Amino acid sequence: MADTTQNSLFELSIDHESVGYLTETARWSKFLAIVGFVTCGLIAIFSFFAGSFLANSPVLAAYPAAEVQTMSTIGGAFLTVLYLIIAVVYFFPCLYLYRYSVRMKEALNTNDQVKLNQSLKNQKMLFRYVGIVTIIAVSLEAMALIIFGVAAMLVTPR
Amino acid sequence: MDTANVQDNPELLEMHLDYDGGNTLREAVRWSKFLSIVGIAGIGLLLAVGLIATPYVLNGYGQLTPDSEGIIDVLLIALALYFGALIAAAILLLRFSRLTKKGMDHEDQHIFNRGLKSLRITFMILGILSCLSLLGLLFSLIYPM
Repeated sequence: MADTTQNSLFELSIDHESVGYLTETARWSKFLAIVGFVTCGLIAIFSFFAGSFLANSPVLAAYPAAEVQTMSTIGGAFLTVLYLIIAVVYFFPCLYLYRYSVRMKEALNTNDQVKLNQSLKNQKMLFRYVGIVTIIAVSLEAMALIIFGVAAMLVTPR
Repeated sequence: MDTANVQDNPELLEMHLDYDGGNTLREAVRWSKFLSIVGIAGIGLLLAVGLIATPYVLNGYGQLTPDSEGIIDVLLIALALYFGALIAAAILLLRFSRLTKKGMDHEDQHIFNRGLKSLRITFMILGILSCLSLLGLLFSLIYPM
C-alpha cells in the first residue's frame, strides 16, 4: 500500500536508470518541440498564400475569370483563417513539450524536486490538451459524416 | 525548495516521486492511455481504408508508365512504413501508461523505469517521424507534383 505521508506518497525515486531514460526523453522531446514550432511557423506563413494558390488552382481553371476572382478571395480568406487556427492549436502542445524538456533537463542537472514536478505538470498538460483536441476532432468528424450521409440520402433520387 | 548539494550527499540523486508529482503523473498516464488507444484505432482504420481504396485510386489514374508505377510502389511502401512506425509509437505510449501506473500502484521501481523507457522510445520514434514529415513537406513545396 502507498505511504500516505504528505511528502512522499510513493517509494519510487529517480534513480540512475530512470535518469538515463528521462535525459534522453527530454532531449528528444525538445527536438520534437522545435520541429513543431518550425511546422507551426510554416503553416502560418503558408496560410497567407492560400488565396493565390487557390486562384492558380487547376480546379478553378474552367470558370470565368470574374468568378475565379470571387471564389479565390472568399476561399482564400477561409483557408487563411483555417490554417491560422490550425497553427495556433498546434502551437500549445509544442510549448508544453518544450517546457517539459527544459524543466526536466534542469531538474536532472540540479537535482531539483520542484523543477521535476513542474516538468511532470507540463507533460500532463500536454497529454490533456492533445486528448481534448482529439475528442473535439473525432466528434466533429463523426458529425460531418452523419450530416454528409443524411444529405447524400436526401439528394439520391428514388 | 529541495536543492540538495550533490557533494554533501553520498547519493547522486535525491529526487523522488512525491505527492504532487505522483498525482500529476497519474493524470498524464490516464490521458496517454486514451491517446494511445485512439491513435491505434485511428491509424488502423486509415490503413484499412487505404488498403481497400488503393486499387480503385490506381485504376482511376489509367495506364501508368513503368517509371510512374515504380515511384508509386516506393511511395506506398514508404507510407506503410510511416504508419507502421506511428502504430509502434502508439503501442509504446500504451506500454508507458500501463507500466508507469503499475509501477506507482505497486511501488515497483523496476516496472516504473520500464514505463519511462517506453516513453523514451515513443518520443524517439515521433522525433524521427516529425523530421521525415517536415522534410517531405519542404520537398513537396519545392518540387510540387
